[in-house]
Amino acid sequence: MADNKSNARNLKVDDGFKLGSFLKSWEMVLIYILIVINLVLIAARPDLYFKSGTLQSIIQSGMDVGPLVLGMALILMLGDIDVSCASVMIFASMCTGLSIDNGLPMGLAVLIGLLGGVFCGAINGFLVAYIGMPAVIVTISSSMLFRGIVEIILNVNSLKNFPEFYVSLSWNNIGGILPVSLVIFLIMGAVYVYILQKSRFGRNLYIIGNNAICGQYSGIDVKKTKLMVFMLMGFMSGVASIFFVGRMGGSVSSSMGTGYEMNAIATCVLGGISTNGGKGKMYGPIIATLIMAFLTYTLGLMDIDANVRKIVTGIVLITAILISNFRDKSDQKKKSLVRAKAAEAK
Amino acid sequence: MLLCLLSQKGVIKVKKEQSFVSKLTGSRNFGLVVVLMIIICVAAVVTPSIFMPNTFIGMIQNNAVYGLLAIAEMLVIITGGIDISIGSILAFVGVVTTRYMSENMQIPSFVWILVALAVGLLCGMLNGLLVGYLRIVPMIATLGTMYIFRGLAFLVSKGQWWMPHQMTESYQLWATRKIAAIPAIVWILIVCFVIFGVFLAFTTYGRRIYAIGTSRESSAVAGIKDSVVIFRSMSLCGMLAGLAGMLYTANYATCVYTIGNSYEMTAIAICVLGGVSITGGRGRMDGVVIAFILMSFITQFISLLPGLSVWSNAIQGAIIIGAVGLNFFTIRQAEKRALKERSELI
Repeated sequence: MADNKSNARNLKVDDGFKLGSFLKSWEMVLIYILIVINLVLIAARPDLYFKSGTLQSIIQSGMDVGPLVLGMALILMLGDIDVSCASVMIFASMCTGLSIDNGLPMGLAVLIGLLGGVFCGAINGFLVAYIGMPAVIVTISSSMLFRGIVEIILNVNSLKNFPEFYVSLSWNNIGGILPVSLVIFLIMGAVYVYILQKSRFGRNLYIIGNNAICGQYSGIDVKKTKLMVFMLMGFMSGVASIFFVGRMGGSVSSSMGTGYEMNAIATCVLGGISTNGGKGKMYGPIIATLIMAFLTYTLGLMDIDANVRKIVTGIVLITAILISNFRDKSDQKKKSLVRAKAAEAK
Repeated sequence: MLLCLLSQKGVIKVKKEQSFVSKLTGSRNFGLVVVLMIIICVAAVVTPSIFMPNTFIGMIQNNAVYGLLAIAEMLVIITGGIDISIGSILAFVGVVTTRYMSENMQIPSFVWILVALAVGLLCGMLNGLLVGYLRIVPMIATLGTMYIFRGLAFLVSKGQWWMPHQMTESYQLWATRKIAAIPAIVWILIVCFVIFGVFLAFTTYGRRIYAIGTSRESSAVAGIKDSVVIFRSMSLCGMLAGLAGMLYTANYATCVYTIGNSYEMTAIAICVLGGVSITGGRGRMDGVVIAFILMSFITQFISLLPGLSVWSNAIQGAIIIGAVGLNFFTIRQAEKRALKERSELI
């Protein structure tokens, strides 16, 4: 009886600490970082920061990676990785562009682009889930393959006919204040938060990421789930192609968008998603996307060259991982201490 | 006990009774050699000029850098890690040696080889520190350093191009001097293949790399310090990438900070094609050598065909997916067969 009581009391104490641990959670740390970057920006260029349109253009500049980040988070959750998403993005935009060139109606062309993305994702997913090949190898070679196909079809030409709403999606603001791309990104983010944190499908991903065999034995169709996640990634690459083409002013060529996959992975990792799988929440990557946008823009304002910015991105990435690793370790120590104390009490 | 011994003897007998043909088809490199043969046959019909000795040596010379990077990548992949920063290390080291060589032409050229090895080693040591001692996931740690080294390469070069007339002849001769009609860079590659092949197969330290890759925990129990082994193999990887960077600039006699972009992907592809398991613990140098020759053949073959140069990415991607898929399929079949044989014995 006494044991039961002390256990119950322990649980309550944990509940009491919730606010404190919430403030110290990784998502809140990310928000602090975002605020710090904003303060630095205000201190450095106050005139520019409060000028209308600056904030909007900062946010818009980072939104084309957004859909890729959301899709990538689920893939990393499985413990897999997808480095082909930039190529899929270009492939999807080529599908849309070619359909419009051939006189198909606009809605159908957009749909074909999205389906092209899903198709590529399905190929990746099939090879990873059903053949059992490692995701790194599959996606490295399939990124060569998809970009190669675009190179073959487009050669050195570029496609210029895209729906007009592509450009306005990436560059317009609602009422002159709220960027359209941010609104769409947040809506998609909310859907993904629901998928990963609340739905059965998302919780299955955590189990598979932690231990796929355990997931298999507890009745999850691991192969099918993996295939679904890769198809979702392909779909999100298709969505990203809309924003990407819009950012580029409505044209696409085969050499565009290299390095987007690495940006997406870096953003996810900064958002606290472990590449080993099964760890992290969806809120993190959403905030991290904004951080990346602000970071690159701030460094750009300080007249730092694009290539030197890469150094900063790299250092930020590694520091973020080091901090989160360190936090995990100290958490584990605390937990084991608590457990030891509980055992002593018994 | 006796029964056990008997059954063991039985297994040995079964193995001895294997015919030469089944031994050949059971070898891990069999599929690879078959693909190589097919491509050679196709090449013999379509482009006979590929078999001129000069073309062949030129082909190896042009791809030698990939070979060096593949050895570097192999050392890391066998530990169960991955290093995607080697392309950036190549660029960084290439820029460092070229810049200081063109500024100090009086210094003898062998110094630059030492500089390249040292700088590459330092870069590799940074990777090794992050992965081995601070235990960051290899993919992410090297993603961060990939950004950092690329940025450093830009900083050192200040965006400058170097042309052949800015390079001393003795520097270029490190790659192009003909010894017995074979360029020095190919000799260096052959020496590296032999040294690292022996190193991995026969030395204690080489075997430790395999042990770590097979199981980090059990090798730790067996008294192998995993952090040290990983640190050393990533340092060696960096050193080889540095050597490749110096030889790249010497071979092509040009240098700019963007060289070696996404070379790491080709290196990984060669490794995996050569039977190095991406999950670690498996892979031999002979497979990598065959895969390297196969890869060079493919690129050379495509470049000899008129109007096909845009196809190179797609064809390479498709071949890698096909070869690795076949490899995984045969491994699975072999495992199934082994399981069956075992159950029959029981």
